[in-house]
Amino acid sequence: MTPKRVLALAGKEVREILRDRLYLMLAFLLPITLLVVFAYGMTSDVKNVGFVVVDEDQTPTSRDYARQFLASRHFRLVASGQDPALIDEVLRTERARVVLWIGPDFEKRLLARQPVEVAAHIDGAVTPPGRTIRAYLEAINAQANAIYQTNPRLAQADAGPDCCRQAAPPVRMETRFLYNPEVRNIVMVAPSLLMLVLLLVPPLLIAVSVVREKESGAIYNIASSTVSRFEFLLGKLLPAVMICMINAVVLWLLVAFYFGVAFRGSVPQFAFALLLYVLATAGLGLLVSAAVRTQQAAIIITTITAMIVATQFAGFFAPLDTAEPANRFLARLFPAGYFLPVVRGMYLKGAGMGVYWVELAALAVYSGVVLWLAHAFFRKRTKA
Amino acid sequence: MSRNRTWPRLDGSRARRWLRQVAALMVKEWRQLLRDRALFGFVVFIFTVDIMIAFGAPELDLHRSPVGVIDRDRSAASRDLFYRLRPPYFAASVLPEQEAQLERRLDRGELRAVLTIPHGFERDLVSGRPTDLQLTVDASDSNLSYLLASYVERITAAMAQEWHERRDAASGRDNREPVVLLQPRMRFNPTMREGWFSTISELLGMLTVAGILLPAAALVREKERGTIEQLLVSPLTPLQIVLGKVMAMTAVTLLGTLVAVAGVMHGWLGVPFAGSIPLFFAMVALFAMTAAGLGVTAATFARNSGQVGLVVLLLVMPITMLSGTWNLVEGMPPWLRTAIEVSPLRHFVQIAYGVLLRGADASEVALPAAKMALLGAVFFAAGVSRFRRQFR
Repeated sequence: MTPKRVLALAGKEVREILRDRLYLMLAFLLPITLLVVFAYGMTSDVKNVGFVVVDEDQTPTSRDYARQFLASRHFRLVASGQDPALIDEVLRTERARVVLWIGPDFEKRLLARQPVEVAAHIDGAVTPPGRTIRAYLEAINAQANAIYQTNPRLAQADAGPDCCRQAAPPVRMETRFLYNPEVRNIVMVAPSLLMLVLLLVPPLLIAVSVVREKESGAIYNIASSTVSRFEFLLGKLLPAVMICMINAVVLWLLVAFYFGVAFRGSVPQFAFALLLYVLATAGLGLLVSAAVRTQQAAIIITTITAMIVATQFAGFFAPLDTAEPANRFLARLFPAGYFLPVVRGMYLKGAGMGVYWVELAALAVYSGVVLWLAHAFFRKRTKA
Repeated sequence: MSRNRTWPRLDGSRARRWLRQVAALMVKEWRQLLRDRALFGFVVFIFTVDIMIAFGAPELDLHRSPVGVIDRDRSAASRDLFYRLRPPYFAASVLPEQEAQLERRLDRGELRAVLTIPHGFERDLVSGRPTDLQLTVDASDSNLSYLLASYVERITAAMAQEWHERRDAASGRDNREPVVLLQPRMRFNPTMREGWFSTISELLGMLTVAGILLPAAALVREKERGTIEQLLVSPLTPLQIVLGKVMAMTAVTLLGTLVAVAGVMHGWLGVPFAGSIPLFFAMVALFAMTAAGLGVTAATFARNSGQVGLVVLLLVMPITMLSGTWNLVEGMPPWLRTAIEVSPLRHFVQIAYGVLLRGADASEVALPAAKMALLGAVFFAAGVSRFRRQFR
C-alpha cells in the first residue's frame, strides 16, 4: 500500500463528489434534515393533548378538580359535558386522548370525608404517550389530594375532634433530576440523534459512492489498474469520513445551540468518540457495498438497517435491559449500542473517557473488524 | 405519437379497450417486480419480518431499575420501604452512608436513582409529622426518569397510607380521608401491550415506504433503461402508463398489508382487529393511491434509480417521523402542525388506529379520509402533468 496512491484515489473521489450536485447536496443536507425531523418527531413531550371532562356532579368542587388538570401545559380542553356517551366518540375520532369522568356525588363524598373514585379514560392505542399521560394524570391528582387534605372547607365539614390534626400521608418526596433538571424530552433525544443520524448517513454515502462505480462500470478501471483492494477502499473511506466528521460537528452545534442542549463534556474527547463511531459506521457502509450491486439496494439496506437498529436495538427509547435476549444480542452487532451510552454520558453528564473506555475500545475494535471484513469480501471485479 | 385524448369517450367498447390496456400493463408490472429480486425481497421483508422485529421492540417501562438507597434511619419503616422497591420495576441496593463513588456510578448508568431516607423517618411516619425523602434521578433519559420518580412516589404514598391505617386501627380511631382515587382506564389496549402499538406504527411507516417507492421505482426504471420510449410509441396514453403502474403497485401494497395484518399481526402476534375489515382495506387502498401520487411526482424529478432512492428517502423520513406514528402531532410546534397536514400519513394514522384498535366506523373516519383523498388528487394531478410534459 502506498499513501500516494490512496491520496490520489481520495482526491479523485473528492472531485467526483464536488461535481455531482445531487450527491453533494444530499451529503450535507440529509444529516441536518434528519436531525431536525427526528428531533421534532421523536420528542414525546405530552403537550397540548385533547382533554374532555364529563362532569356528572357539576359542583364547584368538581369543576375545581377538573381545572387542576387543565392548568398544566399538558392538556387542552376540547369539550365538556354530562353525557358519558361522549367518551367513546371523542376517543375514537382522536379529538381527545383523555376523558375525565367525574361521578354524580363527587362533592358530597369529599365533604363527608370519604374517598371518591374518578375515572380517567386514556387513549391506549398510542401506548407510549398513553403511559406518560397516565403518569401526568396521577401526579396532578396527587397534588389535588394534597390540597383537599389541608383544605379548610373540606376539613371543617367534619367537625370531629380530629379535624385540625394534619391527617395527610405526610411523606414528601423531594426529587432532584440530575443532568436534565427540567426533564425536557429534547435533552434526551437530541444528543441521541447524533447516534441515529451518524448510523444512517456515513454508510449511505459510502455505499452509494462505491456501488455507483459498480453500476456504471467505472470500477473496471480499478480492476485493471495496479490499485489494490485495500487502497481502493481507503480512498473511498477517507473522503466519506471527512464529510461525515464535518457533518458530525454541524449536528453537534445544532444540538447545542438550536435545540439548546448544553454540552457538559470535554470537546476533544467527544470529538474523538465521534470519530471512532463514524469510522465504525462508515466501515459498515463498505461492508454493504461489498454485498450489493445496485444503488437502490444500497440505499434501501443502509436506511432500513440504520432505522431499525437505531430505534429498536440501541436503547434509544427504552433501555436495552427490557429487551428480549435475542434482541439484546442483535444490539451488540451494531456500533450504535456501544455509542449511545457514550453520547449520553459524555454530552449530558460530562463524564470523561475514563468512564467510557470500554465502549470506546469496543468501537475501535469494531471499526477494525468491519474494515477487515469489507476488505475480505470486496471484489474489484463483480462476477457477472 | 399523436396527441390523442387522455380520457376515453364514454362509449362501451373504447372504455373497455382502454381498461384492458391498463390491465395488460399491470400484469407486466407484476412480472417485472417478481423478477427484480432485490426489490421483491424488500417488499416481502417489510410486510413480514420487519413487523415481527417491531413487535419485539423494548418496552418503555422500568425493569429492575437499579436504585441505590442510603438508609440513615435503619428502622422497620425504612426497611419496609427498601423492600417495596423490588422487581419487576426496581432492583434496590443499600449504599453506605458516605458513598464516594456515587457520582461515578450515576455517570456510568450503574444506578438510575438514589433514594435517601432521613433520620427519624419511622418516628415521623408514626407520629404523623411530615418527613422528607430525597430522590436523585438520572434524567439523561427523560421518559424513564419521569416514570421512575412517579413510581417511587406512588410506592411511598401507598406505604405511608398503610402505616397510617395500621396506626389508626391500633389506636381505634376512625380517620377517613377526603381523597380522590383516580382510576386510569387504558382504552383500546387495557394491558398496555407495546407490541400492538409498535407493529401498527411500523406497518404504517412501511406502507408509506412501499406506497411511494414502488411506483417511483417502476416509473424511473423505464426512464433509466430507455424502455419508456417503447411504451410511448405504443397506443397507450401517459395516463394509462401511470395508472397501470400505480394500480399494480397498489395491489401489491394491499396484498402485503393483508399478509401483514391478517397473517403476522392478527394471526400470529395476537394484535386485535376491532373495526370493519372492508373499511380498513378500502382505506389502505386510498392511502396507497395517494402515496403513489407522491411517488410518481418524485420519479419525474429523478433520472436513475439511485437518485429516485435518495429523493424518496428525503420524502419518506419527514412523513413517517412527523405524522403521528411515533409521536403526538398535537405536541409539535404550531408551524409544524400546520405543515404536516400535507402528509397523507398524518390523516391515515387517525384512520388506521381508529379502525384497527378503536373500532371506529366509516362515519368516524370520514373527515381524515376526505382530506387524504383531496391530497391524493393533487399529488396525482401534479405527477401525471409533469410526466406528460417530460414525454410527449
